[in-house]
Amino acid sequence: MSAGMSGRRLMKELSKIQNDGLPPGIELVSSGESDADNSDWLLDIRVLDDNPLYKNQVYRLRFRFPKAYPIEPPEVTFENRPDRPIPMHPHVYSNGIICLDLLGSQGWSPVQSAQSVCMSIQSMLTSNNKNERPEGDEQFVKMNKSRPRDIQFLYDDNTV
Amino acid sequence: MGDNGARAERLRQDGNEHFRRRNYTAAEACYSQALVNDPNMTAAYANRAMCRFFLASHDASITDCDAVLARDPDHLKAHYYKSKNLLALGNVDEASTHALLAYEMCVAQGADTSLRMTKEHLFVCRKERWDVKERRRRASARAFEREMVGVLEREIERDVLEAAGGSEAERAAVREEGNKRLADLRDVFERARAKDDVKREVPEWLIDDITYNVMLDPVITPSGRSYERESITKFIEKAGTDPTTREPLAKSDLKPNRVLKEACSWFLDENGWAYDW
Repeated sequence: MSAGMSGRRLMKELSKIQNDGLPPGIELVSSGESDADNSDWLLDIRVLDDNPLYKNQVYRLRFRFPKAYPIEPPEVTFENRPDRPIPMHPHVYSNGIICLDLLGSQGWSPVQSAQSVCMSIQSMLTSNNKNERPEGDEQFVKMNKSRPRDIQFLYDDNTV
Repeated sequence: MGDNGARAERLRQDGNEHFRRRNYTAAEACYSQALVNDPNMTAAYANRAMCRFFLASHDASITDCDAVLARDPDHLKAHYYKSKNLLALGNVDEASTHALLAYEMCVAQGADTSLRMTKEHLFVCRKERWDVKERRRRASARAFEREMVGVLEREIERDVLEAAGGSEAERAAVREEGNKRLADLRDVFERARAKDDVKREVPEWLIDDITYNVMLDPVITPSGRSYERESITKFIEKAGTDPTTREPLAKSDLKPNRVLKEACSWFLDENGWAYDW
C-alpha cells in the first residue's frame, strides 16, 4: 500500500475539483503532479467584494500536505511574488505565515479540504478592515525558524 | 515434555530472530523444528504460515493457517494470512470470506493497529472479486455477440444462395437486406456495451468524509454523522474530538451504522468499479 493515506485522498479532491470546479475567486494553479516527491498545491485566491484592502489583487497560497493528511492539517502559507503580494491582515505575517485556528492541530478537522480551507481564508480576508500585521510581526519574521504547524499561535482575538 | 517444550520455545525464538532479519527460509526451518518438539505450538504454526506466505508457498502456508485455526478459531493473523494466500492463488471468494473474518475480529478484539491493514486487504479482496465477476460478464457478452453475428451471417449466405437463380439486381437486393440486418444487430450490442461506460457516480452519502472512499464499515457518532471506522478511529486517537462538532469523542462513542453499511455494500455489489473510484 502507499506510504500514507494522503495520496488517494488528494487524487479524489483533485478529480472533484476537475469535475465540479471551484467557487468564484479560487483557482487551482498547480497540484504538484510535475514532481512525484512534491505534493504541494498552489492556489490563487481573490476577495470578491469591494474591500479596499484587497481590491484588484490576487494572492497565492501554497499547500503542503503531510503523509497523514487529512488526519493531520496541511501547511498553508501565502507566497510572495512580484504579482502576488502577501495580503494585509492581523493574522497574516509578512512572510506569508497564516495564523488560523482551523490550520492548527487543535482546530483542524479531516472533513476540511483544500477547497474549504481556501474558502475560510477568503472569508477571513473579506471580513477584515484592519490595515495591519499581527503584533510583533517584524520580530517574528526575523526570528522564526519553525514550520507553521509547530508554532503555538494565540487564537485569543476573535474580533477578526 | 518439559525438555521438549523448552527446546521448542528456544527454536521459536531463533525463528523470530531470523524472521526479523527477513531470512524466511531459515525462520521456517526453526519453526518446523519447534513443531517437531511441540506439535501443538500455535504460535509456531502462525509464524511459519507468514514465512511461507513470503516465500510464496501458498498451499503450505494455508495448511499452517488451518492448523492455527483448528486450535484457535479467533486467530486474527491466521485468517488474514489465509486470505492473502487464497488471493494469491486466485480464490477470490474464499479470500474475501477470510478477509472479512480478519477485519471483524480486529474490530471485536480492539486491535486498532491492525485495523488499516485488515480493512485495506478486505478492500482489495472485494475489488478483485468484482473485477473477476465483471471480466466474466464481459467475456460472456462478447461470446454471445460473436455467436449471434455468426448465425445471422450464415443465414444471409443461405438467402444469397437461394436467390442464385434470380437476376443480378435481385441478388444484390438480398445481399443488401442481409447487410442491413447485420448492421442492426451489431448496433444493438454496441448500445448495450455503451451502457457499461455511462458516467459513474457515487452517492455522496455513501462516502466517508475523511478518505473520500465508499464506506465498508460505517460507524455513527453521537452527533449523527457516519465515518469509516478506520479513519474516524485514527482521528480520535490523534485529536479525541468529533471532526464536525469539535465535541470530545471517544472510540466507545462510535456505534455501527448497520443500515448505512447495508446500503454501501448493496451499492458496491452493483458497482464494484467504485472500489477504485
